[in-house]
Amino acid sequence: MELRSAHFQPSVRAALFDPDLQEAMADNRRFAAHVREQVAASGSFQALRERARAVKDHTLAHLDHYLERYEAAAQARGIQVHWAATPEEAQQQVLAICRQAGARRVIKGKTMIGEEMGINAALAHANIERVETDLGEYILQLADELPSHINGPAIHKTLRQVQALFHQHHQGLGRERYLEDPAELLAEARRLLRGQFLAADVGITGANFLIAEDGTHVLVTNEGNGDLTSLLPPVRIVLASIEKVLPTLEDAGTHLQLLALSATGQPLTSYTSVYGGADSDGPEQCHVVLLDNGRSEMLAGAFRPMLRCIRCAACMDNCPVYNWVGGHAYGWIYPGPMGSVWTPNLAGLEDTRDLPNACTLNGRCKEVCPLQIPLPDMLRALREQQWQRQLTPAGTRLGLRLWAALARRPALYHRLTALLACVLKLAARGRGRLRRLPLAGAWTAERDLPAPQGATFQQRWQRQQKEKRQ
Amino acid sequence: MTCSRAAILGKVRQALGRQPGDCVQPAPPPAAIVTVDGSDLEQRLRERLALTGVTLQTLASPDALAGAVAAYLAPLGFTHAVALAPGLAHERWQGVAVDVGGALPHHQVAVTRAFAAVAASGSLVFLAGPDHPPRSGFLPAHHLVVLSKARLVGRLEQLWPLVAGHPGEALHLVGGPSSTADIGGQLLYGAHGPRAVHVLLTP
Repeated sequence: MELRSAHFQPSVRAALFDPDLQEAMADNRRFAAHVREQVAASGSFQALRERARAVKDHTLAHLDHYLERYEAAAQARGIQVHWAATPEEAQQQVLAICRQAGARRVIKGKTMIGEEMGINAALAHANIERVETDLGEYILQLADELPSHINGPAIHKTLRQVQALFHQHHQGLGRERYLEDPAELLAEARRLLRGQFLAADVGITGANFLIAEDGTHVLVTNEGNGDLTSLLPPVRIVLASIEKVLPTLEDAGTHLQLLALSATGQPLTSYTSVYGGADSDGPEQCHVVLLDNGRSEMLAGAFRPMLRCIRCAACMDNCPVYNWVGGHAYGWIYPGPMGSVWTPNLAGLEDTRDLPNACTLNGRCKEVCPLQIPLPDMLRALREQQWQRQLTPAGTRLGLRLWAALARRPALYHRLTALLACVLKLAARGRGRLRRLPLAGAWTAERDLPAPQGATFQQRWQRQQKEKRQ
Repeated sequence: MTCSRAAILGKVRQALGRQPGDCVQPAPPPAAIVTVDGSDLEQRLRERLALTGVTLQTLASPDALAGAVAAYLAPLGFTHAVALAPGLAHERWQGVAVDVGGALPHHQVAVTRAFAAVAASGSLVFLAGPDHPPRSGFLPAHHLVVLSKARLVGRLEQLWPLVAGHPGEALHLVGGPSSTADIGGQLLYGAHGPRAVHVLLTP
């Protein structure tokens, strides 16, 4: 998929003034608050996350062992396992399976690995018809847009926009009126997609976890589309990546509870399914593609904890940046805090310069992360890498140098800040507020800046301590 | 393929600093099971399922199954036979038209047996196999689930020992009807699979 992270700043400006997007993001903020309440009420979150982290750290430390165990167990079940170092290799493997099966029609469940490997474009290029079955992905297929969220791909679309899209694309199907009621829209999509499920040659899904012990994979959806996609077509292709492996099904149970709780506030997702290849009325062939795409390099260094990620999206749902600018601004498939770590690691630092800086370091993402991934630390580490490789803009470098010079000289710092506090107090002319301030135009354009009251914090602290002693 | 396999595993081993003869450390021990605080499992399951619109009906004996299914169907006005899981064919189904086998696209209703249920998460557990075709839980608009009281467990952690050793077909944990919030953020039921799930609890 094309990387557009270099356009972050103009995209953000456009996003902040897009009324439809702002309406949709307000809904996401309300949803995130609901999820936080459910997590707080669950009672088991802390115990689950301690165990999940221990299991995942252990698995990553023995990843070679568990990958080989998974492969052997899956093959023993008749599953064909394909290893792909790059997205291009994964595309070719999927296309080869489709060609071998003589496939003309593919149905797809939501898969972020599929997005990462650019499978949609590859299928289109090979003239294979693709129908998305996750309702959010289906809406995006109609709109010809990319996901803006890793769980709710179409959260940026308002009801009005979905009504218009369905009207535009389903008009030729004999519908007589403009459907407004969400239930009617859903019934229409269900009817259309049901036919697609039954006619497809290949079903492609993602996998939430791969189980080393028994070669199964776990797939969760609330719609049940992942199960119809897995069960109905004669060929099943599962798109996964190497860090999705866990030792046992019981381990997956711990992660599944955290995933559901942190993603939607449910105790478990509506459909949690464990597939093992041979099902009585399931497909004749089952293939699993294991994508690396830079993960084996992340395993070596400071970014290994990022590979714990279970894609719950709690970090973005609780991020004050993501929740206003939306997912598209980030310019690649993984948005928000987790994306700002993944994207530079997978796509390089050069064209992703703004991502690690689009963060207030408020720490919310780390607090809510069920796997306790130190996202703010990693974003800071990426900023340091940018600095070392001289990718930080010249103006920012100069500002940081000046600041560092000042911060290293406490006496000068105290004198200068005391002077500044006095000047700002005078500039406020007794109103206590500043309407304008050089270098802070973006702040004062929207609101007044409270003016200092004449002394710095340190001065007031010293005065207070002196009074106490007297 | 073989080439990438070796390359990926080689990079993983290099990243982990593997030496020949390194052994695998034992995995962390399983989670301590938090038992359900003595409360009634049936009641907990009922309450949890109610949150997603799943209804639960307690039957006095398995003989009451046919009557309960007929009573469920009556107000719906369906004329087609229901898809009945082969594993339930031995029960008595007088008064209900049944097609024994997996659900087909024309079936509006399927009746299947749950292997177990987890009270804390409100999950109905299904083990696929020739006697329990998995499609039946996903194609029809109404899913009637026969569940034995003896198969109720408190928490998910208590399910895994029951599942272990069963032949390796699909395992499904179902927490309610098919749902979506993708249209304007509103929670709607009946996205792809069942619009309604009704549990028949037998002693």
